[in-house]
Amino acid sequence: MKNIQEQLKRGQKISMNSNEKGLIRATLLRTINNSSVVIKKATSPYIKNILVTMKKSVVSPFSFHSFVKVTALTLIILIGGGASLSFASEKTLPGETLYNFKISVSEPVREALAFNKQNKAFIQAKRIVARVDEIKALKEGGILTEEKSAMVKNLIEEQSASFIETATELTNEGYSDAVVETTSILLDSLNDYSENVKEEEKILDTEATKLENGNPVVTLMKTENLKTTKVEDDSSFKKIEKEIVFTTTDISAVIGAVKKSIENKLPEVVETIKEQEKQTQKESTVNEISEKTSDANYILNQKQKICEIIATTLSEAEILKAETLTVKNSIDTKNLVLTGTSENEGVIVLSYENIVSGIKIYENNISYLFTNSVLIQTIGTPLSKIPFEEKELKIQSTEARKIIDQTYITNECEKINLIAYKETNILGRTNLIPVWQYKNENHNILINAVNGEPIKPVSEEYLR
Amino acid sequence: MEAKPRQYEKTFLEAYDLFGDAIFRFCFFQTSKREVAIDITQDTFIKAWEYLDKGETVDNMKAFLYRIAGNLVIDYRRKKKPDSLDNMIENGFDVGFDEKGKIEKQFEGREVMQIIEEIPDMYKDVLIMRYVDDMSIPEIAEVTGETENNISVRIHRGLDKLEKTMAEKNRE
Repeated sequence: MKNIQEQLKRGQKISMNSNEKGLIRATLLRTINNSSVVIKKATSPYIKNILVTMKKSVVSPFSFHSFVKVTALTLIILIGGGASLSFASEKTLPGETLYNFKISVSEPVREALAFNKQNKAFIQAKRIVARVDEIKALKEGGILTEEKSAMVKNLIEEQSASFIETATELTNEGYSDAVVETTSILLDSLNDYSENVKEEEKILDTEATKLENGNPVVTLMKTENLKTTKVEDDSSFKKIEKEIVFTTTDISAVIGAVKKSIENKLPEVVETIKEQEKQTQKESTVNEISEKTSDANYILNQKQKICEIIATTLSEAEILKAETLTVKNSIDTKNLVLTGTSENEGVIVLSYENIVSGIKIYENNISYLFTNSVLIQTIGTPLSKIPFEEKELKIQSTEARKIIDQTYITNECEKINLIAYKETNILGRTNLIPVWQYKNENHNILINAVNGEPIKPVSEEYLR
Repeated sequence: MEAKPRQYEKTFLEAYDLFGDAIFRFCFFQTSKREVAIDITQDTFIKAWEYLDKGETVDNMKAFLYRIAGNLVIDYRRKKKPDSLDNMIENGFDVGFDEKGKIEKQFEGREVMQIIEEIPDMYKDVLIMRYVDDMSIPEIAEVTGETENNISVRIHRGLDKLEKTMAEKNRE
């Protein structure tokens, strides 16, 4: 009988994969964000689409329709080549199988098939918008990593360069309206993104307040100026000089500022081009045409610079936000994993999966931005007496990872309290590292998240 | 759950992170189809959100989610039409593709997992909740609306049936 129970327990290993989890999470987020809007259901209760009366409908990625679609597409691909592959790859995200196909085949082919330059510029702008949407989708799905963020950033840069090139040609040929129109598509997309970022900032603020209220010894996070970006002055277009101060607490403001500078600049660009066109018509001299082209090129150079700033800003914003969230969510100690011991030094090394609003940080992916090692040091207690086998800190063995001696500490770990934040400086950036304490009659253990540094117990004032 | 909107949403998403896999497993064992199980899991949380969004309160989130999932599974079973092979192929069924069997092979308990399909639902449900989802007897009682005593008896009988079925299979 016991054998049967044990075999049944093995069924616990069945779970959704990270993509499935992430997609459901993204659907839930959309549902939550639009919960004031009417949610309509399709006829079938379990194989269906969730249609939300909003800009975009939310469709179950696992629905029967998508299953049939995938099967049908596989057949079509086998029979008729890759034409349908581009359709299949349309909604893929970085890291998925068909994403590379979409980027390097499907989209360039579509671009090459543009019937004129205006259409080409439009398609190129849509490609950049698609990248921004992908970042959003990755974030909503909780699967945005630094690597994917960098990849999308590179693509945005490349595609912006192509777009600017086409736009330059169009302007030279006198199609400035088309340039303005396509640029406005980009702005719309960035506006949406900016709104999204602002919403998340509000959540962060609430969390920060909660953290401070709950822990009297918590050191307040400091706002640090991390980056200063300058948009160069241009005498032809009045004063567009703007210094953007990049802070950890005001990421959305930066995006907003960049966007605003484009928006402010856009009417002036149009106006200037129109004026120049009028002049050109009146005077029709070769020199003036040449001058106009030169000015137009300058405008486009400026726009290119701004595009680059936007791309950098988006990427920086992602990283900084993830970093901020990491610090604020580090109190989640439920998934501490023992990764090794070193009795000579009197420390136990742990790593943890930090679930940050859907962003899972695994030990293998963690870079300097994300603290992954946790050192435990006892105060006045030999290491061998750390009560890991007592009820308070129960360890369960697991085969989930390959690390030797790996153990999970169960939910009992909730008894570890966050007692302080320690300030560290990593690559010029200030990070606040959480410090936990486990204390009972016999033991007083500090758990201090550091990044390979020797452990430094926090000052006594935190222990009272 | 608190009435503050943002905290409310965050708590709900935490509930998804915490119970998502368990609800999926529950649906998977009840329907034997991965796509359906994932759909029902998603539906379960959407329904739960719709309920909470009306201002209703829930004392035991886990039990609440299992109840919704259980009802959706019942709906699924009721509306499931007998499949003809032609219809199944038309709807994307791939002959020779056995999702559950594939997963079961990944761990040694596949024999029990195959045989559990053969015992009545009333026993299967409680055994899955007790041993696969690690729920306590009071929790199962709350989800099913039965008394704790009934659940204990059902688990005991379910294990007996499972053991006998396995013994018969081994003799064959």
